[in-house]
Amino acid sequence: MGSQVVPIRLDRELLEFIDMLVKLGIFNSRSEALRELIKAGIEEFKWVPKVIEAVEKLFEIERKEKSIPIRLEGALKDLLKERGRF
Amino acid sequence: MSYIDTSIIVVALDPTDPRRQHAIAILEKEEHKIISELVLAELASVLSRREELISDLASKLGLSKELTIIAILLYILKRFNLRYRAPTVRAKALPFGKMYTPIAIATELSTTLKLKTLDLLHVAYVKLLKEENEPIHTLITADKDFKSVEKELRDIVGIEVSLIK
Repeated sequence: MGSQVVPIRLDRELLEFIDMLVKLGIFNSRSEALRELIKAGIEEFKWVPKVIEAVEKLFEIERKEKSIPIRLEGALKDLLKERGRF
Repeated sequence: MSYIDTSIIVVALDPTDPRRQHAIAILEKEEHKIISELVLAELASVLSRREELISDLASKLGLSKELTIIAILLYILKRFNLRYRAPTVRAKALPFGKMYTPIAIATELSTTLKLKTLDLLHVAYVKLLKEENEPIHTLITADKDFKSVEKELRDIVGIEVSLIK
């Protein structure tokens, strides 16, 4: 898979941090540092597509059952009681 | 634009509440609706205590219980076309130190409104979001405590209270 050049605007503080990582020899260049940090960041968000898919499934369930699948019987009473406790 | 209180969402999700269809109709009819992080936190709290529902949906969706609650919150946002807006993260300096802005506003409003903490916090979010250029004119709720300070909310925050009956 070929790589592409993407222009990115960074604030000074962030850039100084990237430069420090390069200076310490953790990465060979700014480009490598940013690439690796973006990869690490993406790992943190791997759950997002699963959740988006689940939201679609909830809409499917609603279509099938012709009713909102989240049923919170008596929840208002609990909520207001909780608000009253504070 | 209307600020949607957690209570009206909860009514819309309760098949045993006689106001349910009305709550759904209001949520579906209103065009511009905004919620705060407090609404998400209250909803997550209500959902987290419905263990049977969450376990059942977690198994249907193939997710952990934590992610199931996030999926449900997203579904609710999408289902009722609610826009979540976080206030700009700021701290307000008070004589006893820095305080997260919504809490500081709630503290300031407490003497005048005399509401319970969570109600006060909702009003603080409305005030803050209005200051951050969200044209909120109505608070839609099923919590009658807001109605008891209707005049003060009109005078101080510049919003009307719409209470579902």
